[in-house]
Amino acid sequence: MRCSRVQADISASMDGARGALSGAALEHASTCARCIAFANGARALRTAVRVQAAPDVPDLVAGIMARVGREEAVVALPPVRRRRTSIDVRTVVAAGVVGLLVGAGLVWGGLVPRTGETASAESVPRHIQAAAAGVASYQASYRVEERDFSAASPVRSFKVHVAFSSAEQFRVDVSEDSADPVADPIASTLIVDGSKWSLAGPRACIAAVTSPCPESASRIARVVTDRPPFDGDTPMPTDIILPLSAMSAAGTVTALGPRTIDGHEAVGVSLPAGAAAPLFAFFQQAGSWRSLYPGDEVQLWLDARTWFPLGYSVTATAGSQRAAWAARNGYDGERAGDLLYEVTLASLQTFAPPQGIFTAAGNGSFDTSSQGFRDIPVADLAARLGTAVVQPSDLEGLRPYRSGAFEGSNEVVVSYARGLSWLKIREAPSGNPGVEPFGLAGPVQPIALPGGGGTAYFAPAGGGFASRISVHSTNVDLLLESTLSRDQLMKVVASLPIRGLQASAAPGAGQVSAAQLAARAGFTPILPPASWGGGPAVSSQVQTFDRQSSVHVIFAPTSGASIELYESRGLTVPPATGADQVVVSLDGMLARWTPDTSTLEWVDAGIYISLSAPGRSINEVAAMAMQMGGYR
Amino acid sequence: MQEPDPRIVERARSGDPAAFEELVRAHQGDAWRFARSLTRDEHLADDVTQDAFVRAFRFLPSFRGESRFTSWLFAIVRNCANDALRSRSRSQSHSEESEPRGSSAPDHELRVAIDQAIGALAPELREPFLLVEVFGMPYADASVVLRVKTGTVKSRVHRARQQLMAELSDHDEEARDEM
Repeated sequence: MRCSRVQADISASMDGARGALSGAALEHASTCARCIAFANGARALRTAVRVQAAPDVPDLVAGIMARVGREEAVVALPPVRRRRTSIDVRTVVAAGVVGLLVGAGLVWGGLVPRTGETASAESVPRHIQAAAAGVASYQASYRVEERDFSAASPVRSFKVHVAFSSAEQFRVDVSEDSADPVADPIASTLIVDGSKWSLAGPRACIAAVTSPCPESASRIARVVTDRPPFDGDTPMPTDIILPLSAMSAAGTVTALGPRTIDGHEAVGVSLPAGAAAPLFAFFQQAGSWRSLYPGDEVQLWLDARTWFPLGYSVTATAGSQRAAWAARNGYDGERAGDLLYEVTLASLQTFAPPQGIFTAAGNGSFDTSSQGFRDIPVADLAARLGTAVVQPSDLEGLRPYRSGAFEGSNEVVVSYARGLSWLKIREAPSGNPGVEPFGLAGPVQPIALPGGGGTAYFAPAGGGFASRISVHSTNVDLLLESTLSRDQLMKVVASLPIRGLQASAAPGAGQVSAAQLAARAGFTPILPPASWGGGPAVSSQVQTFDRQSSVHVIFAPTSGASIELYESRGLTVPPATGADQVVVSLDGMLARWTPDTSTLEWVDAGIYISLSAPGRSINEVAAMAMQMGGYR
Repeated sequence: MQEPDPRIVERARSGDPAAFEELVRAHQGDAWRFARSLTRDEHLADDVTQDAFVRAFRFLPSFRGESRFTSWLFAIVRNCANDALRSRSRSQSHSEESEPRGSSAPDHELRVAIDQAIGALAPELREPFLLVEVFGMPYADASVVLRVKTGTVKSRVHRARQQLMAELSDHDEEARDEM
């Protein structure tokens, strides 16, 4: 009998195959040295692989059940209740795949108040933040209804489809339902794919400033390449998946109490439209849309198990300021309580979308610009930085994502992500004159790092930024920005192998008067009156770079993101940086409007002025500009 | 690997989240170890395990009990691992294998050697070997997971054993030489 056959039988016998070893094979095996060696070796191997220390298995139960909860919520959506025949709510149940994707008409008329329980306003942002890391992929369709866009279009309706795949792949398709065959309905596509993003759609018409403005004047066809990870300049629709930015910007929200929306346990919160801007900005990247008064009320309803938005609405608020705003912006027919926007979830699934849909537009007819960031492995960044890259040992569950540096800079960027949660660390040599210092503007809090780790500076989320912590050390300066909670971010910072030094002048601490600013800057800045509506100045700084001084003031309005004013000596507005920027007329004076950042730039009396009010419309920012002291 | 109580599976099939959680608790360890063995990456194994259970939850109503639950689950883990590996190779990042957790164990060196030797096997040998030798699956169940005939599982496990014994024998000799 051949040894190979016997050894195969010995194998099978070890694995429990009945009758694997025949009498002849047993007889051979008992006398053949090679086969005995094989049997002994095979048994030793089994012992080794089964007895060896088992690897530490992580406890994934909570994470799995959280995701299953979301699946279940999707699966459990009841049959579609059509609101009206024109609503195209899809119901897709693939044969043999139960609950693959079920559309749902979640109508406000279906809200059933539940009594006896009160949702905790404080807990909602925390739940949303905790859910962020678990969202690996997402696809949803929403119906958007907009009121009072113009007299000719009292009600417009849109379909918005959103797709996401962790960590930075997004796609938003917007299409307008238009019954008018002559009209030019909005149809836009925004795609973000890591280092590249593209936007195609109609350009905004700023009718209130440059009337008359033809609706179909021009189109945006823009591609941006070489973008750094998680930059604030890229329009990403994260908030429609989980409203992280809106919650951070709102600071505090008002609980509306639990309700049931078509069988879903829902938690409602009320927040001002200024803070909720990211819930609208994601579908308003192209085309013209109505403005919202920052104080208008947004009611946002979230699935109590998944924290995905089930829908939200905006209603006009009361008050003389609101009435004045409405009169200025052509909404003078609106009354308190009028419904302005209604966004309802039509379908939702957490399957991974096909990768092909995230391919950003090609160059062709698109206007292409580069942000100059190059992806470089962390191991190769030390040469750029001149020292080893400082990395935290506690990543709070995040994983290495993209890293790299800007061309011609010795500042490096290392990022980490999981689901919608992310952390970005910018690092530069201490006192490096060639890069932007990491002093934070705005309301900044010095914080003591645990374990005698020294001092760092914390700035809460706002103004288009996530929460940030600045750390100055002997060799390097770090700026951490993250969607993690403050406690989690503190743990990350505490795990950095550096000691934070106290800044000689705490960032953001230098609030000075106009006269002091003028004395330090060498020119008299143009500042708004106290009653301008942009809120009080919370930070004023004079920065000098290459013998050119500039004034940087942060204002904190009562609602919405902070407003930033930048001024320096100058006779012209710097060259345009994007194809979507437009020249507008401010009561006869030319200015430039950048929709992405809601920034208005102009020159007045030899001073270049840049006013950024993220989330606000051209009309609102123009109105602020006109109130500024030097404006004539 | 212990097969779950059919009543628990039935309750989970009918949508009882508590029953499904029970299945997760009982099998997430084996699922993760299998995913770790296939992907050679502990972080990726976390994702694969989560994806596999979510997929299992989604497809559970279509599970008719024609195979063992554990075979069915492992087939899903294998599919998820293959998807994850394909996705990772497309993104071309973080391709290095992660160090096993808990590397302070006294038999760490042996564990690493075995791990590396198993990792060096061709996938068509590694997968049946893991299922049969490490997880103790009968050939018939492994054939369900791998979608090959029982005889194919048997011959591949045997070939895997031969290769591993040769590889680890070399390692032992090197270790002795270093002493």
